[in-house]
Amino acid sequence: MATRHRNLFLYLTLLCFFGLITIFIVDGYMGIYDTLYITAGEREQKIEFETGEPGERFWSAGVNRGEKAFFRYEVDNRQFSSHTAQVEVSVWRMQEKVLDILSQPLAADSFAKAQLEWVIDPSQLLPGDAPPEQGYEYTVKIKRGELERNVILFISPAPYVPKPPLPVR
Amino acid sequence: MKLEYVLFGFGILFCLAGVGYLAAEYVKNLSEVGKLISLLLTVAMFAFLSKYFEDIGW
Repeated sequence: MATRHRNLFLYLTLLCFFGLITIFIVDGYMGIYDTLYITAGEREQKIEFETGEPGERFWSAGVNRGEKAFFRYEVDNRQFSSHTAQVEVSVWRMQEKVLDILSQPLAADSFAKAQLEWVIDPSQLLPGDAPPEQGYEYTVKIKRGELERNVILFISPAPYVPKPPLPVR
Repeated sequence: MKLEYVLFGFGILFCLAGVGYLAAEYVKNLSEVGKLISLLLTVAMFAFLSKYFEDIGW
C-alpha cells in the first residue's frame, strides 16, 4: 500500500511533465506563424509577428531614400492541414492608400513554408515635391485572409551634401 | 540500489533539460492561458516530485 501511494506521486509528476510537453507542442509549436524579412541598406531585419508583445500591432523598418527595400513574407504552416489565403500588400499614408503592391494567393502545405517577395521603391511613394531633407513614414499593410499586419516604413531624408563654395571673383 | 538513484538522476536531468529547451524555444509562442497552465503544471510537478522523494526517505 505504501509503495502504491509512493508511486502515485511519481505518476502524478510524470503526468504533469507530459502535460507540459503537450501544452508546449499544441499551444507553442502548432499553428500558423508569419515572418517578414526586410532587406534595406544591406541589412536584413526580421519581424516575427506572432512573438510580439500582446496588443502590439505595429512594427517598423527603415530605408534610405534612393535605395529599395526588399520584402520577403514567409508563412510557416505548423498544422496537419494545408493553409491557403489571399495575401494583399499595399502602402498607406494618413489613412489613404498610396500604392497596391500585390494581391495573390499563398498556399502552404502541412508542416511546410511558403513565401512571397516584393520590392518597394521609395521613389514610387514620395510626392513629386518632397523636400530631400524631410523623412517620410508609410504603412505597409499585409493582409492575409482576415489577418492584417502593419509595418511602418520610414524613408529617411537624403544625406546633406554641402554646395561647393562660389568662386571668388 | 545506487544504480537506481543514478538512473533517477539521469531521468530528472533529461526531464529538466527537455522542459528547459521547450521553454526557451517555444514559450514566446504560448498563449496567456497556455503560460498559466504551464506554470501550474510546473509547480505541481515539482511538488509531487518533492513528495515522492520525501516518501522514499530522501
